[in-house]
Amino acid sequence: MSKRLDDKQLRVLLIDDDPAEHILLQRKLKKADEISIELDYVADIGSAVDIVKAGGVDMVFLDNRLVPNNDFRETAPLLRQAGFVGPIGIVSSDISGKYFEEFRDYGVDFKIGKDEIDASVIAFIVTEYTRDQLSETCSEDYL
Amino acid sequence: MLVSETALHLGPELERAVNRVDFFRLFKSLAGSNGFSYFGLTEIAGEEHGLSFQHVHALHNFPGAWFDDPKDPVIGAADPVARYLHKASAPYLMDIRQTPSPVLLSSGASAAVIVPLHAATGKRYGLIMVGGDAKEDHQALALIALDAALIFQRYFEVLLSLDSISGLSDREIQIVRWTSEGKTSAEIAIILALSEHTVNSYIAAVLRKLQVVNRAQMVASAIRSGLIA
Amino acid sequence: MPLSPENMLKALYDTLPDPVLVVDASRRILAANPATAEKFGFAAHELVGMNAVGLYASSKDAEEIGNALYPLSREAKSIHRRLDLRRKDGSVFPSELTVSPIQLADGEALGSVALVRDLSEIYREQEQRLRAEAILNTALDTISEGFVVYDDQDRLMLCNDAYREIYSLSAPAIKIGNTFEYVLRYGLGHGQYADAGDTAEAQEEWLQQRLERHNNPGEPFIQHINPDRTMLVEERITDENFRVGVRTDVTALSKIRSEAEQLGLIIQGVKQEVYLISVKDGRIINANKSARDNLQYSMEELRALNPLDLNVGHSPMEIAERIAPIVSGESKVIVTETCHRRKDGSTYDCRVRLELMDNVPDPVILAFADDITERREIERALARKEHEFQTLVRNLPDFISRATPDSTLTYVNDNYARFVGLPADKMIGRKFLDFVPEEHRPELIAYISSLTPQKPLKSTEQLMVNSSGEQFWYQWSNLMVFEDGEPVELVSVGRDISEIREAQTRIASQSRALELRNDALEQFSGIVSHDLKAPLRQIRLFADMIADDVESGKTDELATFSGYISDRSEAMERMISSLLAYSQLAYQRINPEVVRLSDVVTAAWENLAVNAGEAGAELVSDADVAVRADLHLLTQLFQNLFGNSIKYRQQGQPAVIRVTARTGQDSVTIAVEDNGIGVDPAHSERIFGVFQRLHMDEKLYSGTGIGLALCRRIAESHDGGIVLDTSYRDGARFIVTLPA
Repeated sequence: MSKRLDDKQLRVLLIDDDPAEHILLQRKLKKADEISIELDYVADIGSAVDIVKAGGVDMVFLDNRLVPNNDFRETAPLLRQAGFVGPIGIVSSDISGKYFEEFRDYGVDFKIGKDEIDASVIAFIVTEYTRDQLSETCSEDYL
Repeated sequence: MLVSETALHLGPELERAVNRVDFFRLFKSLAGSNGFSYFGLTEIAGEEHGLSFQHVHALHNFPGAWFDDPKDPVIGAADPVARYLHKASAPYLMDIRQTPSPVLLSSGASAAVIVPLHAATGKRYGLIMVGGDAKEDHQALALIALDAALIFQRYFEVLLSLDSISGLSDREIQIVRWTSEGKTSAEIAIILALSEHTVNSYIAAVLRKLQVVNRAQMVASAIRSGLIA
Repeated sequence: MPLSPENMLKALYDTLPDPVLVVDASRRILAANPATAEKFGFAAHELVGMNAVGLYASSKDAEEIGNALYPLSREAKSIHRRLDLRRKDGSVFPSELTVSPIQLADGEALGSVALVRDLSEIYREQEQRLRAEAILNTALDTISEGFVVYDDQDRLMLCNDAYREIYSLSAPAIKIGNTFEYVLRYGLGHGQYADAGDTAEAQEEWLQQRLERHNNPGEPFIQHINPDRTMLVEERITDENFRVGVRTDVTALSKIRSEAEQLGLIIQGVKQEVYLISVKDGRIINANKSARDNLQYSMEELRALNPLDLNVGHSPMEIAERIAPIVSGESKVIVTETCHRRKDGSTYDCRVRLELMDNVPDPVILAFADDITERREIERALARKEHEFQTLVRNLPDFISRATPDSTLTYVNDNYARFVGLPADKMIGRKFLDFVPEEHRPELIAYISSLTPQKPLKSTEQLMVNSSGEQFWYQWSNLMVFEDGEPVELVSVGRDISEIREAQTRIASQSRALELRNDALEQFSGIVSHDLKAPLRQIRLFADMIADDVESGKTDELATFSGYISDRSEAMERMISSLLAYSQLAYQRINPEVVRLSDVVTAAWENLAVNAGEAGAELVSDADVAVRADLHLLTQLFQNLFGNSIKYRQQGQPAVIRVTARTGQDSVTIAVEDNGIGVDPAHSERIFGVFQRLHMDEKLYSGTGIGLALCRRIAESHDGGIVLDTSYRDGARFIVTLPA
């Protein structure tokens, strides 16, 4: 099961080649006082792969266009190949491209526009992806 | 706060919505474009029950602080909002100070828009939007209700109706097969290059479809019905 | 002298032609008259005193007569009988003998007197009569006709065997003496008369009619004895009021007649005109109704006409010539076509079949004529249609061919033949596969064998090479004709679709281009909206943050935030300028002219003189070729390429840019290479997009971000192109192609 981090801080990794986005997200998280998130930031996918391999990342916010890659279809699978099984959300200024329809085929859990992100969205995402979807009787120990 | 430049909830995003985050975004966009900060959608249970936002299909961005127990966000059966949704089927602009709703008053707003919704299975849902300066405007209310019904219709098609569909998707069958071989969700996630959450979402959907409560029953039922060998 | 009885007797006695003898009681002849002597051959004196018994031919007769008369007495009577007597020479003759006793006055019997009557003559006549009757009967019996005679009382007198045989059912009634009516009634009762009807009334009526006819005979009439036997009945009344009847069997005759009648009716009724023409004089003997109706002549008029008068299609000479073989008997049948003239002068075409019938005493020609006016019209219409069709087929630009299922041609139209470069008759008999490029044959064979009775018609597009080696595309519509599920003929129509195909190819390439452009445009607008929205959103967010911090009295990060705002604003300004430049250049109307590439390269380099000087860049150009291009746009293209080379030079090393050009058959290839940092081949296409950044260390959106996009746009607007030479490792190498 995913780690329930009721008391521990949730560790989110932001991957974006624009450092300004890091500053902006940090400010938003600060406003979401209900949830406590530790935000890591890297600017390229290579560094991100290193970090998720090292472990401890609960969730990834991945910028759609990371120079020099084209879009998330080139980057998200790299994280999965690195063994990351936590949720991956694609954040982008523009999510209207047609290829966004197939995001799940690339191991991505959700997509969201950068301008849609606010405290309540982050709270929902965190709740959604950390809550126990399966009842107690369905725990894997039961198998 | 940020407001979408375009009515996201009615654009191509409605067609492209595939998971709960997408529908969360759509309802949030609907609320935001009508000047509301908060929205909540959940199933309407019996009259003795309140409106629980812990429900498996509930979507909301109500702050936990509004509720007595932030971990169990429920609008009580006695709350006028719950009472209205229990009996009515028309969208309604409710003055929450005249008929005080303890939960919604926390938003600091004076009024809330309540839209009863109906799923094709007969189940009833309610959409509550609050946190703006809602004015008495029938036309606006009607438009909100229409947009809400459109999004809800899509939500039903994409996710809710899966509960009543007996067939499993290819992905679901893959996951049941791996489960039958003793793989954990995390292992399956690695095998299939998905997140563990997504794997669990599939498993939860399969449990609902097969009307079973755990993985062992899921595998047994899938073998019995020939879904997997 | 008075005639005394004695004298009279004496005269009678002497002159009587019959012998008279007087015989005494002892049968001695007392006296005999001269006739006796003559009849018996005795002399008168020999007779007197002779015993009379010697005159009888039979002693038995003599004894009987003697016993009857002797001894003579009063009671003795005259004897009259026929018996044979004997002459002196022994010959015998039949006679009628009358012997009477002679009595004296006192009644005493003296002797007898005998009168002899020679019956020879009478008997001879009687014999002759009987013989004639027997011959008649025999003769009657030998003839096949029934013969019957009823007397004046209508009693059957005579009938022959044939008559009995004819009325075999009535045989028991056919007896001499029975009346005609009796015979009829018997026959009726035994089903003798087929005509009589079944009911008693009908039979009675028939009987009365028959009797009436019998009593008052007229013309011979037909009587059916039974369905298969027909008699002709002839009756006549003799002077004695006898009915003489003859029955002739006409069964065969009537059968022949009825068949002939039927045949005649048929001939009369057929639509075909039938004539019977005498060979002898060439006149019409008979003509049927069709002939008379069509010619408008009556039978009499036709008989009066010479057939040659009817025939106007040929001169009499010609006709004579034509029918000569039949007249001479050389040929039995002749079929010819001519033209007949009607009574009203109008004419019609006809086909005549003449047949000689020489198995009759007077040979005739049987002529059957068909009015072929309609047929002629149909034939003319058909010929016209055929002609129109041929004209159409000839004038059709399409190819038309017919072939057997194995593709052997049976027909090709002129167009097809002209295309192939062979006369049509040289193509026929060959397989059309021979006229299809070899590499297309297997496909075509498979295609033809895919035609089924369910789907016999298909269309295919086929590359065809004409006699001059030019290639054309033809759309062939192939129809396989099936009979009983077996293919029998392949009819094909080919239409030149080269132009259509060319247009299609053009449209396809245009739509491909359009698609590419749409993709590019989508990418462009996506990038523009993304890349323009992103800094805007950030500017707004940083402004919000500054406001928040100012409100909360925080000041430490304000400089950072405002720095971002200013940075983003500058980036946006640059992008908007670039977009403007791009849209101005990219969609500018080109004014192509022949320019020297060296002039273009020089102009571009001079525009970059300042940057080049700063970077110590060097240009080596060996590109003195002529191209047809817009000088201004082409200069912009090279300026952008040179600018990139200067910008992406290796650190600490001056940029060296080399331009080479090569003129090919229909294009000019220009290579621009440098010794800079180069481009990852993975990005060989993406670099031509708008606002593409390739290097992480690049300051955000430094440069225009549209330089290469513009280069490609300019090259393409000249119907040329630009690509990155991914094989080049010593820097970046771009290949520009332009039409010569």
